Amino acid sequence: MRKRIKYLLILPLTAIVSCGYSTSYLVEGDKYVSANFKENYYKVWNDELTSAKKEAPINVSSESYIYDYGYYGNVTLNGFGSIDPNYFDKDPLLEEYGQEFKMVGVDDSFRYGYQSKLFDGQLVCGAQNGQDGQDGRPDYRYQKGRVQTAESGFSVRFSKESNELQYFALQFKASTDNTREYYTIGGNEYDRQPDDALYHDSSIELKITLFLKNNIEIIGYPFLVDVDFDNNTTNVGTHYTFIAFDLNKYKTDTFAFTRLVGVSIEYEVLSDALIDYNKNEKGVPDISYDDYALFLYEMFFPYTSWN
Amino acid sequence: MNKLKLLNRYSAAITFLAFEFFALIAFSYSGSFVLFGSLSLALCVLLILFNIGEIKAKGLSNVALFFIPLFIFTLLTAVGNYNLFYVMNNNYKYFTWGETVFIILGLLPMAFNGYLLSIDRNFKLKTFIVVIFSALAVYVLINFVYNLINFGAFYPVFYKNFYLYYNGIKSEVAVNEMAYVLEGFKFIEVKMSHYVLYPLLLLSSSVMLLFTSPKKEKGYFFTFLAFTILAIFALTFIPSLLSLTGLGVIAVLVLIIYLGKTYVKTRKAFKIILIALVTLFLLGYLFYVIVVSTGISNSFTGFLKRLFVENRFSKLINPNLEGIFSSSKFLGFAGWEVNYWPYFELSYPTGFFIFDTFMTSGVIGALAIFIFIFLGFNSFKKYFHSHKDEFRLQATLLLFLIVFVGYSAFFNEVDYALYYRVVRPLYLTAPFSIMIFMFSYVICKSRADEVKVVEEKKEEVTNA
Repeated sequence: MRKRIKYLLILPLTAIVSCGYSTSYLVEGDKYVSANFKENYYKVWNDELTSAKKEAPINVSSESYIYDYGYYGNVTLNGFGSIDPNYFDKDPLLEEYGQEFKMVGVDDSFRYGYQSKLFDGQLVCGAQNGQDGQDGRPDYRYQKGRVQTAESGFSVRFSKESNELQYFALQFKASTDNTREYYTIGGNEYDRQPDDALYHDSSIELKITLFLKNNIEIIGYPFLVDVDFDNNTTNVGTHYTFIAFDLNKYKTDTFAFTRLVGVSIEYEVLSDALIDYNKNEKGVPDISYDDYALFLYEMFFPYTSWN
Repeated sequence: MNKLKLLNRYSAAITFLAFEFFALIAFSYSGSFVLFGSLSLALCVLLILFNIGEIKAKGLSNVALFFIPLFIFTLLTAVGNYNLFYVMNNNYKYFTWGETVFIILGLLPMAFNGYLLSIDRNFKLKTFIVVIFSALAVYVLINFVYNLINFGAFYPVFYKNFYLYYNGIKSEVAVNEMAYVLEGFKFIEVKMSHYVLYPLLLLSSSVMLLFTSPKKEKGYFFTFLAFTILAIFALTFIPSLLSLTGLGVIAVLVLIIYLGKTYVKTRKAFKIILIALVTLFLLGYLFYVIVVSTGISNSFTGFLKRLFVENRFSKLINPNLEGIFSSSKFLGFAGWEVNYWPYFELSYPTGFFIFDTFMTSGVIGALAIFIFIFLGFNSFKKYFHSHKDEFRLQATLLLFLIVFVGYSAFFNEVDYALYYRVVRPLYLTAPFSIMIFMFSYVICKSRADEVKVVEEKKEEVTNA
């Protein structure tokens, strides 16, 4: 009898190994690709990061390197700082930049989950034009290369830990629910046609929190970046904002940015000319800052190694 | 005398090497056709060297005939339009010259190994069966546990409409239609039908249980019991329509084998039913191939149109069959263009081995492999009568082959990986090599016996 009991142990053993480690990466059905703009916000927060202790925010706007480019806007460089330009000598729009620094190239664990859109090396929505996608399969993504975020943001918990951090970079653009309405350029008013681009003259305060692990706990280090979008277009894939900053600046003799285990991105909309115009001048009743979104395309930690 | 002893020892060592080699294949080193092709060749050379006396004594002429279809198949597959297109076209380099060479130099030696080991005194089928299924069991166990770790038990039920994003792209199929398998040294996401094949093959060892006494051969019995339980777990804890149907079909097959062995009356009934079913299937199959390939089906209307053209299987299969007798497609063809705007690529084989082979090997190549498989199954008649191996071992071989051939005929995923470009027609897979070996072994074993009987009769006549 005793011997037979031994065989019964197989069942609990099976239950134990059934930990469903990858189920957190699963996304139900057509979530985030709905025709309804408001349903596509990615708002997933990792519990461990939400409850983590947070340090006082560090303002990086004056020392950051902000690079804005596109067909319609002029290239503007704000507060170039002392960053080594060689680290960003490639045009971020170019595919090579994404391919060189993409996080999925660091480790396979970055390849999984909805957030892998931020790590796949695709910097723009219609990237890899005329080329095959990953491993020779055709790339069907087009406009789906982005993660649509609300002000409340989201967080990503990595399964890897970084060594000493070097740089942080982010590629994104501003947007609203673009089924609406009126906009102005140079004082002329336009009624938006279905395929027209919308132009955002808006400013936000971006809060990027890096979660570092020590022997006891995880601590969040928020970085505040002021971003001004100058004629940032929503549905034409050529106008993006790229920010990058040097984390070496914030290191001290006793504190280095090591063991990064997660990142969260939040923001606050300070103003948006399009929303204000529709609401105040044209009296469109249902437009508000709730319809604002940040489209994130890619997040990098260039020159950082991971364990 | 000493020399002979030494030779025998070496010979035994080579046979042991053969077992290890089969374990490696059964462990499904699926990414390395070149590896087990070259091993097969090396083993064949070694076996020839150490069995040259036996080969001379038994002669090759009796079995050589059976290698001709396989030779035609391998040759036409290697030099066929399908293989050469993908070897030489820079945009679609799915196969290498190495693979091309080893289609001939790997599969043919594999068949010859079947002959050589069938006359090898050190080779024991019992050990072979244990080795093959042990390796397969390890493979199934690893895949099974890895799937549980990632998605948990019964995940196809719980996560029916859930998708796994990879590299920012939503997966082609929902999680309930995917699974992980070990490929080389890496776990990859594959279509469910690829995962299900291995537990089903493992389950074919369950026939051993019915003919093994748990008291007399305790270790042996419990080993196969463990294999069976593992296979059932791997199929039911990750359930799919395919896995549960497969489980049911194999249970019925095992029951048929058991009843056929124990009751002589039922054996005859089964024989008649089997012949009737096989004939029906073959007639239907031939009719389908001829009607579609010659384009007659295009003029069909009504019910016939729905049966031959307007259903989802025909839409898949028919482009691979249309015009196969024309000069451009007679020796196989690379595929037809599929338009994924703004890209296009070439179609893969459809997953039905019985139809795909016309594409991958050409008409003659396809006929050749079908003849080889038919001869293989047909040899089981003589093989069962020969009593050279125990019945349970013979039955296990038979069931393994039925499961593999039956499953691959309809569910052979050629591009089974979800996130990587893998194009692996059936002839480049590990179980196909094992199939070739088993058929060849069965053919040669049954023939060798016949030769012996004829010789004995001759002797009797001369003695008289």
